[in-house]
Amino acid sequence: MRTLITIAAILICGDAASATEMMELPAEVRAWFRNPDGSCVQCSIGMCGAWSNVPAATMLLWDTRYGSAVRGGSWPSRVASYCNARGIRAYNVTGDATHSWMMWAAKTGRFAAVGAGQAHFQTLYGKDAANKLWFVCNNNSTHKIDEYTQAGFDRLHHASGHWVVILAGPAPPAVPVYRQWW
Amino acid sequence: MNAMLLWMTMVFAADLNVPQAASDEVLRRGSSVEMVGIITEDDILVALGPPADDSHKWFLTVITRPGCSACALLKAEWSIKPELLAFARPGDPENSWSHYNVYRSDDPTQSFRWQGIQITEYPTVLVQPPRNGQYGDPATVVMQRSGYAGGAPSLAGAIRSAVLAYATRQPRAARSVQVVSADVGIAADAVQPEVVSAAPPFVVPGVEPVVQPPFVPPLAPAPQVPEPPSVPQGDSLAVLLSLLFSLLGSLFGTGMLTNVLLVTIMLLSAIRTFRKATNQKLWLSDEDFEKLLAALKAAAGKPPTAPRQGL
Repeated sequence: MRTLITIAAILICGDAASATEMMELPAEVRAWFRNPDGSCVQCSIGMCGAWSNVPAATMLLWDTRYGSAVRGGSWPSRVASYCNARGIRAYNVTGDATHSWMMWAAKTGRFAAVGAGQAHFQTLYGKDAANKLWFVCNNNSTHKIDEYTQAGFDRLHHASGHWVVILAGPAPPAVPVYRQWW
Repeated sequence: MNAMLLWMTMVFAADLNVPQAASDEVLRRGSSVEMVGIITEDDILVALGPPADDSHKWFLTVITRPGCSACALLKAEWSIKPELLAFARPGDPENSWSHYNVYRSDDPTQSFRWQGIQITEYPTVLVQPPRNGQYGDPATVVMQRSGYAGGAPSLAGAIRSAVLAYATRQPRAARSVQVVSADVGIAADAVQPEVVSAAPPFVVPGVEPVVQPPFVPPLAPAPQVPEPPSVPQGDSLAVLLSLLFSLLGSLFGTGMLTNVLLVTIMLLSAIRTFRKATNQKLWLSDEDFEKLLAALKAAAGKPPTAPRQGL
């Protein structure tokens, strides 16, 4: 009888395991993308570029062979313009579908630059699907990763307007480690 | 005074971060998805939903070094050799079996990736399992092979052998949990505009000339593929059927409860396998499912055994 109760409890409670997807950028790399002058959209895209190994996106903030530094505030058509100019393949998504795009971006390990906070863009840095937690790196405080509940994240995203930028192309691998599997 | 400060903030913030013009444009665009980076009409996506989930794809990573002729040969051959294209299609991620990424060893923006592994020769090819956890921790190095002197079939064979050997040993374990660094905390906002430099805080790698095959490759590749032990292969369907018949044969004999529990285990396993195969949401994590099986087996009077492939 006790066994049956245990089985029923497991079936009812469902999946309690935690599965967290996270970028793995060291703090010193994230610090490159600190927002000094109101360039939050480029900072967020740049951080995604470093994670996804897209140099043209990584180096948006500076004068490099990929183009001149892109500074200041941005809007969807400006992002489209400099992505086209630099050949940065990305999904520039606005409207009601941004939530499902952010879910996709987190699940596939690409992550995203997302509207987060009043007149602000931040980096969608991770997601804990089991516990419905979202992780965000604010380019005003790149030394830490902020954790949000689903409701908190929804409010954060809604405050900025529904707009996300996701770099296209292959997803980057996890940082490799040796484990003796053979 | 407060009103003055607010007014000044609004004025100076007008062209920073996400200005009002951005909010207005977001509203004007409504629900839209625009593919940018390539200027063609076909890249305007009409479907609003995201692309298919590709977290089931394996990862193939090539680490190169500037001036490395073997690296250039490998990259060039990966674009034309059918054996390698079968595993990854450079420039065509949607139709590629794996996520194919090429990194440069001298790129300071990517050096954080290689802290946990040893690279002795270039090019180095890494194989890692999918991100969805179907085959365990996606960080695991399934294969590392260094050097390339041509021989696409040999490299493809090594990749194939490593993937098969690794997959055979994986009980489709629960997703690994990546532990976040301790700097997770509470959000804080405060934009402080400051004078910024237009120079990047790192050395930007230079342009690497493209080398086209064929050319004479260097000798002595040094494969570093882990040698997995051989695994006995069996007909799992036949084993399953024979087990089912033997159970049914004694269902109404002694130990009826035991048999009922064993049949229950088989049914649950079959349902789980079907739901996994059809990408349906699983009722239980692999860990919980193993606990359930262990509990059922304990109730049936049998000791728990190692999980079978595919459960």
